[in-house]
Amino acid sequence: MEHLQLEATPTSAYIDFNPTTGKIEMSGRSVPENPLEFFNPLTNWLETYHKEIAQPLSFDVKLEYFNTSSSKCLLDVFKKILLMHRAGIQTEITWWCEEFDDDMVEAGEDYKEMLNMPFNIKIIEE
Amino acid sequence: MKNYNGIYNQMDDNNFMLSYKGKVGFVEVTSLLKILEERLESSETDPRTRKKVYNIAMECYQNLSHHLDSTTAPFGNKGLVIFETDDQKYTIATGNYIFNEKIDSLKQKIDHINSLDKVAMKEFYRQILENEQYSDKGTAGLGFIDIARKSESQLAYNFTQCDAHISFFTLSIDLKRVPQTVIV
Repeated sequence: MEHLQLEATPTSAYIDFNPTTGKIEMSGRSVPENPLEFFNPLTNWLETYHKEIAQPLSFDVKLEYFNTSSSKCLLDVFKKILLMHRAGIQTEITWWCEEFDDDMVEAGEDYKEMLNMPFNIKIIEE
Repeated sequence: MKNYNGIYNQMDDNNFMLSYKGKVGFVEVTSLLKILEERLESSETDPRTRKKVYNIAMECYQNLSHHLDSTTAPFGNKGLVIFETDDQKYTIATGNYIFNEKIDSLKQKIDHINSLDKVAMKEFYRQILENEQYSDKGTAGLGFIDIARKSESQLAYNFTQCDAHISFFTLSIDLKRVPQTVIV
């Protein structure tokens, strides 16, 4: 299975989805013009991981900015992980926020309450 | 020659940090946001405010670029972006033409958001996030609510009718500044 890596751009996030370790990461800015185009490969990757690998998965989300179109796409990504969780695969999502950024904390809380699965909200230590 | 001095004087306001009229496609909006971010770096010491302003401006400007092309064909792909500040607040404003028949639904949408308190707004946001389908442009219909939630202020708006078909729509968001601490 493919190790999915994408370089960060001014409008799209850095992606590192490693099927061998089950560690996946997204960081930077997600404000793309066409978020579906960016996020579809991520949800596809997760579907394949669920089908072919089905091992524990931990997802670190460390976003500086994201637009509302990305917020919906992110929910779709989380829902793929929720399916794994419901199928008995060990999953964990960690939502990283800067200390002062209560909007980011609040966005994390929105997801946490909507998803009902292991979802940590953590503050980035300087 | 045009009266550039007159134009300059009309805009000669110390509070202006950025003003732009022109094409507002995705590329232009991204450039404007870069400029805004740089200006904020020097004008704002509070990282929380800086991030909030940038976030709100990003939603406002991207909103403009998403909704402009289909509505303003007779006027071209143009919009207005104004960014102002004084000691008390930042003001993020945008302007664009829209068809008159779209006014009522837009008005209703904004009025509804303005009528919600913090808890109701959170609920409404989640409802749309969970249930609404993507538009054909891949947008999620969350822009105005997100702007209202982050700014914790009313979405001020105005429609100026131009003719039987077209009006000019302005949206303006105020964001309070925290008093700057002076290090002695």
